[in-house]
Amino acid sequence: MLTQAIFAALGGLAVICALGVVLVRNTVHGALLLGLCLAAVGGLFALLGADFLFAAQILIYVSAIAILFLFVVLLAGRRAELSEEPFNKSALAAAVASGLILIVLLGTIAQSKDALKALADSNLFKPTTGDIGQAILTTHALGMEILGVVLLVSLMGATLLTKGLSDKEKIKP
Amino acid sequence: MLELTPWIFLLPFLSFSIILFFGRWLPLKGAIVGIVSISLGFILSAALFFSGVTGHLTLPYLWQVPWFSFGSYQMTLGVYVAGETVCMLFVITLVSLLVHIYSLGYMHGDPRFKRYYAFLSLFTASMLGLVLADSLFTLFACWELVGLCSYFLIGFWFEKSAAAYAGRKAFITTKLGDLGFLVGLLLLFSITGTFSIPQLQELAHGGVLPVGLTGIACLLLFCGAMGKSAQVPLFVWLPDAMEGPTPVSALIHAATMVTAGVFLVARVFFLFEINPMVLHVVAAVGAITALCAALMGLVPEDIKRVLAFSTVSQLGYMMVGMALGGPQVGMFHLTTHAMFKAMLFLGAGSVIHAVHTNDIWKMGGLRKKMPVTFVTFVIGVLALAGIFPLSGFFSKDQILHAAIASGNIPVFVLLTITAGLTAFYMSRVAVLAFFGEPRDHHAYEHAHESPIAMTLPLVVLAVPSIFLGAYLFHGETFARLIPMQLEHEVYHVSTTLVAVVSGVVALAGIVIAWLMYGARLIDYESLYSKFNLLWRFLYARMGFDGVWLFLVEAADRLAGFLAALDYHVLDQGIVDGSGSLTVLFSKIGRWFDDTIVDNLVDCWGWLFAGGGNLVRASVSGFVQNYLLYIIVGVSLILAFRIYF
Amino acid sequence: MNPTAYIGVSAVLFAIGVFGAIARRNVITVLMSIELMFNAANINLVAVNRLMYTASSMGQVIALFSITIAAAEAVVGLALVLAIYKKFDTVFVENFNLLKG
Repeated sequence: MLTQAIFAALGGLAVICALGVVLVRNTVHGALLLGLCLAAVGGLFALLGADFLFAAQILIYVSAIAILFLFVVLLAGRRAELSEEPFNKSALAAAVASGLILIVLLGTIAQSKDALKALADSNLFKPTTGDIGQAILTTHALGMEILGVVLLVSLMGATLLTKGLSDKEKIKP
Repeated sequence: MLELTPWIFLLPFLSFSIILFFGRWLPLKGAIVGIVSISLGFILSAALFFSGVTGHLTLPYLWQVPWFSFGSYQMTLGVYVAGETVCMLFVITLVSLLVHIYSLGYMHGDPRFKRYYAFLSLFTASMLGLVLADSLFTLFACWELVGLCSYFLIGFWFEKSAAAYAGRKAFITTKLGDLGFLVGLLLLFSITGTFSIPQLQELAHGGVLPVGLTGIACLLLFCGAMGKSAQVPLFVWLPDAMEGPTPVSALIHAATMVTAGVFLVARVFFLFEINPMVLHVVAAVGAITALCAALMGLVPEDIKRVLAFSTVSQLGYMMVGMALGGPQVGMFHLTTHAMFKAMLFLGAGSVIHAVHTNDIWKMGGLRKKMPVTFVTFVIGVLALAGIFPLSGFFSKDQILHAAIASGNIPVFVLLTITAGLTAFYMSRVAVLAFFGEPRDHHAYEHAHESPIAMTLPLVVLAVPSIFLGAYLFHGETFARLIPMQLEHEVYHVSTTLVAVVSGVVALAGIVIAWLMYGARLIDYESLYSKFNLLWRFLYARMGFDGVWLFLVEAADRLAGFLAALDYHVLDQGIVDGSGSLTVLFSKIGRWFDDTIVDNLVDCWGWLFAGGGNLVRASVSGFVQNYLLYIIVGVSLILAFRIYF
Repeated sequence: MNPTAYIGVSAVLFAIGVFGAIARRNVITVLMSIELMFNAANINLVAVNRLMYTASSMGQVIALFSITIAAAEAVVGLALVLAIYKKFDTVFVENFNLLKG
C-alpha cells in the first residue's frame, strides 16, 4: 500500500517534470526540471530495490549530467531567447508522432498484460551491488573495459571540441 | 462433185492472201489470181446449179470436222449444202466473176488497185462461207466478215469524206441489226442447245421447240436480216453506200451482201415456220419496205441512188415472198433480181464512166453514143418492171400470187402499187439518161462506149436477165432445187389474172414516165412545185436518217452523262472520297497517338518526377525531421507487428 | 508491485522525450529530451529485472551500461553544442542546415 503511494508520487513527479522539460520556454528552468526528473527516476529505482543503480543514477545523472546541462545552458543561452518561439514548425507532427508511439507502446503493454506478472517471492530488499560487481568484472568484463575506453574517448573529444575559437573564426548565423 | 464445195470458199480466201501479200509482183497486180479462183468456183457452182435444177443432185450434203468444244457442246467447222446454198453459190460466183472482169476496166489506173482486188476476193470468200456454213455460229462469223468487207469497199476512196462516212454508216447500221442477230442466236442456243443447222432442222421438224421463245429468237435473227438486207428502218446505209465504186455496188448491193438476210430467212425457214406471228411480221416489214423505198426512188437525181432504192424495194418483195410463199418464191426472185440488178448497176457504172457524172439531169441522148450499154440497160429496166416474158415478170408474179392467195389483201395492194412505182421510176431514169436531147453538151461530146472489159459483163448478164426466169419457172425446175413452198389457198386466184393485173400496172408506169420525161406531155415541173412538200419529204428519205442521228446523239449524250457520273461519283466521290476518308482517319489516329498515347507515356515520367520532387522535399537537412520519420516508421511497424 | 505500471511510466516518459526531441528549437532542450528517453528505457530494464527475473541481475548491468553511455554521449553532445555556439552564435536547430539537400 505504501509502496504504491510512493510509486504514484514518484512516477507522477517524473512525468510532470518531463513535461516541464519539453514544454517550458526558459531553458534554465528546463535543465532544473530535468534534474528533478532524473532524481525521481532514481527514487523509482530505489523503490524497486535496485540500490546500486539508485546511487549511480543520483551520482551520475543528477549531480553530473544535469549540472552539466545547466552549465551549458548558462553558457550558451541568451536573454533574447526567452521571447522566441520554443517549438518549431513540426510541433504538431511531433505531437502526433509521440502520440502514435505512446499508443503503440501502451497497446503492447495491454496485449501482454497477462505475461507481465510479478514473481510471488520477489524479495525487493536483497542487496544487488555484489551481483552487479560480480557481473561486470567476470561475465561482462569486456563490456566494462570498452565502457572505460568510451569514456576516455568522450573525454578527449569534449576537451578538443571546447578548445575554443578565436573571434576571427566565428561565423554569424 | 459436192465434195469439192469447201474449195469454192477456200479458193477466193487463198487468193485474198496471195493478192494482199504478193500482188505487187504479179501481173495485173494480182487481179489474175482473183479472176482465176472465182472462175473455178463459178464453174463448179454452175455445174451444181444446173444439175440441181435438172434433178441430178442429192441434197442436202453435209461435211463437218470437229473444231473446238466448250462444256459438253462440240463446235464444228463444215459445209452444209442445201437448195438455197446452190442457188446462192451460182449467183455469187457469177456476179463476182463479172465484177472482177468489169473492174479491170473501171478501176484501171487506181492507185489502190491491188487492195481493191484483195478485198473483192475476201468479200467473195466470206459471202461463200456464209452460204456454205453448217452452223449458225460460222454463218454469223462470215456475216460479220461480209460487213467488214463492205466497210472496206464502200469507203474505198476514203479521201472523200462522204465515202468514209458512208462506210462507217453501213458498218454501224448493220451492226445494230447484228446485235439482234447475236441475241437471237444465243437465245436459240439456249433453247435448242445447238448451233448446227441440220440439227436445228431435225429439232424443228420434231416439233419439240417452244413456240413463243422460238418466235422471239426468229424475230431477233430477222433483226440482223433487216440490217443486212436494208429493210425499214435499217435501210439508211444503202443509199449512202453508193459512194463506193460502181462494181462494188453491183456486187454488194445488187446480188450478194444484201441478199444475205434473205438467204438467212430461207436457211432457217423451218424455225420461222413454227410461230406464224413471225411470218406475218416479216411480210409486213417487207411490204412497208417495198412501198417506202419505191416512193423514195421517185425523186433522186443520182442514177445510183435510184438503183439503190430500187434494190431496197425489191428486197422488201423478197421478204414478202419468203413470208407468204416460202423459200422457193423468195429465192426465185432473189436469183432473177441479182441478174438484172447487177446488170443495171454495171450499166450505170458504164454511163458514169463515160460522162463523169452521176446526175441524170446532166445526161441525155446517150443511146446514140453507147448502144450496148443502152440496150442492156433497157433490158434491165423492163425485167425489173416485170414485163412478160423477161425474168422479173415470173418471180414478181409468184410473189403477188402468193400474197393474194394467202389472203393478205393489204400486202397485195401495197405490192401492186409498188410494182407500178418501180416501173415508173426506172423508166424515168432510162428516159432521162438515154433519150431526148443531151443536157450537158460538154459531157456528151466526150462520151463514148466503154471498153470491152466493161461491156462484156453487161452482155453476159443480159442473157439470164431475159431467159432465166422463164427457164426456172417452166416445169418444176426451180422447185427441184428448193422444194419448200407454203400452201395457203385462202383465195383461189388464177395466176393469169395476177399476171394481167401486174402487167397493166407496169405498162401504166412506163407510159406515164414516158409522157412526163420523154414526150413532155405532162409537165413535171408544175407537179414538183404543187407537191413540193411531199417531194422534199421523199428527197429527205422520209426522215429516217434524222431519227437515227437523233438516237445516236441521245446515246452519245447518255454515254457522256455516264462518263461524268463515273468520273464524279465513282472516281472522285467514292474512290477519292474513300481515300480522303482514309487520310482523315489516319490524321485522327495520329492525333490520338500524339496526344493521348504519348501523354499517357509521359504521365508516368511526370508522376515519378513529381514523386521524386515530393520526396526531395523531405530531405530537408533537419535532423529532427529525420527523427520524426524514424519514430513514425517504427511506431507503424510495431503497430503492424502487434495488432496483425 | 505490478510491472505494468512501471512499464507504463516508462512508455509515457519515452513519448514525452520523443515529442521534445522533435518539437523543440533549442538544441540543448533536444539533448535533454534524449536523456529522458534514455531514462525511460532504464526504468523499463530495471523494473522487469527486479520484478520478473529476480535471479539474474542482467537488467541492472545493462541499465548501468546505458547510464554510462548516456553520460558519455551527453558530454560529447554538449561539447558540440558549445563549439557550434561559439562558431555560429546560435543554439536553434533550424539554423544548423549546412547538410540541406
